[in-house]
Amino acid sequence: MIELKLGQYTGKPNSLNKEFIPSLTLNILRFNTDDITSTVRIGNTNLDLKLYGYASVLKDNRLVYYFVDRIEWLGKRGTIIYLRKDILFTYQSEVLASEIAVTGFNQETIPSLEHTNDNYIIIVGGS
Amino acid sequence: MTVTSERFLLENCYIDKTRPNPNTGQLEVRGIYNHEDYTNERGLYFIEIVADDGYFIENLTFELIDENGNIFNNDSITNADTKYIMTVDEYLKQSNPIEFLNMVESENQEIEIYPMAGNRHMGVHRTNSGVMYFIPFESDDFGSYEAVNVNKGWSSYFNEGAFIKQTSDAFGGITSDEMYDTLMFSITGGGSEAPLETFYNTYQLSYQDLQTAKDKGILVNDVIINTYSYPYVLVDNISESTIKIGEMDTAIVADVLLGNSQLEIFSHELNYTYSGVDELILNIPFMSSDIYLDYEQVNNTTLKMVINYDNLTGQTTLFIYSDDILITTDGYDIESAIPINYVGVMSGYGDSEKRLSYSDVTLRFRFRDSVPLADKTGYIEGRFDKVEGLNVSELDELNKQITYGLIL
Repeated sequence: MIELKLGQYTGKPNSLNKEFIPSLTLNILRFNTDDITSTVRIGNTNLDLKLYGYASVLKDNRLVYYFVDRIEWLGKRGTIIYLRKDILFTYQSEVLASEIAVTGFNQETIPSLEHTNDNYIIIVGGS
Repeated sequence: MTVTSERFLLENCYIDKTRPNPNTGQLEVRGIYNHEDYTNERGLYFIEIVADDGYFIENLTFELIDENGNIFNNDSITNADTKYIMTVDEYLKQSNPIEFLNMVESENQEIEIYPMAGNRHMGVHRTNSGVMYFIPFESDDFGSYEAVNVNKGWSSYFNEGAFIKQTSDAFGGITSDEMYDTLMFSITGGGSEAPLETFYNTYQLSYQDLQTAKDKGILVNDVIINTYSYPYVLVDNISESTIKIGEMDTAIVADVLLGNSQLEIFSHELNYTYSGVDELILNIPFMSSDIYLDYEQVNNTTLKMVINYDNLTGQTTLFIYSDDILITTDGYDIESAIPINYVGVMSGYGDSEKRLSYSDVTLRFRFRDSVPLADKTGYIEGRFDKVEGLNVSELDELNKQITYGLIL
């Protein structure tokens, strides 16, 4: 049995400052998974699975976090939950200890720009 | 599919069910009723309220109704700090929207402001509760209709959006497809006749306008102005004058903006302590190209930008000064074509050259080498070459997940 916790998270998907708030625990028999994506099939249920956007599974003594990518209803045949591993949050300590190549840029919005009504330019001049 | 919208609730405005294709940038006619066709698609979903020609939107209210009949509206979605939940109209009335956002931030530590999706959008985000604030200004929609994305929709992948995301406490992170499956929304409000000075008060004389002026001796627009600055309300410096084009016999009377030929648009003290910075890259809303500056040269100086308009040639040039020393001798030729007409049709929606490129002035620092992440805070765009314990596909996925930057 694998314990799948479903719930919500706060923060942005590309943020390390997430907080997972599990609100449902499912014990499932089969957890089809590769490195990134996983699928879970559960039987016909009255649960409102739309309420859950994030999930976690304890695997090799590590809590692995997943975004709920998609939920597919199969009618009487149950429901398939498609999960995508949140690498950033799952491996956050490893990520934080790593070096990042700033191929983009460290970015800063300039706060002190003053907007005035003088900032206008003529395109068609008068006579 | 139970999405409904009530046209009759709207006065002088309507729901635009088109959206730009995120891949091609082209505007596609795609009804919000057809989400089942795109169940695997991850993208931005727009529901756009568009004012009829000559009107602008005010006093919009929303109700989202889920399948259980729960009603989410402006009040119930946000149970705190409702003073910052504003109608489009209220937001546009802020004399300085950017400053206003800063003020919101300083008053409430829970709120952070960050660039989203390549800095084209802005969002305000309450970190603790996960509630997104309603930010009506959408730089993407720099449109002649006074179009405002009141509801940017939402997708689980980008996790963007404004209005529907506000319901995330109740709905969890479900995908937009499912969201639309179970939501009804109604929008009440209306448009008022647009005054001449509106938020998007930037006009330009198109080739067709010029041709009409030449042929018929009339002008489509009352005011002929183009601004390469921000879309702020214009109040001064308009005066009546005459324009004579080509071989016209009589001149046309029009309001034109007669102003200085040189305007300082920007002044900022650069005082950074970053080491290992290779270049400093400046992005300005009206220029799609990057401006590269030597970090060593300009750091610890005051950077000043001056726009020079040559009345004779009609050429607009940007000069950059560092401590009053001109560092761009030739200047930058500004040839923006902002697709704005007062009551005209917005065109070139997906044409990035015809829109403002950035929503704000930004400075970006390009570093020479990889830097330890532990030193960094805030928002960083980059790529990991190696992370301990991750295999190749996981590393790929990690880099994919931080395509739009990493928030530390």
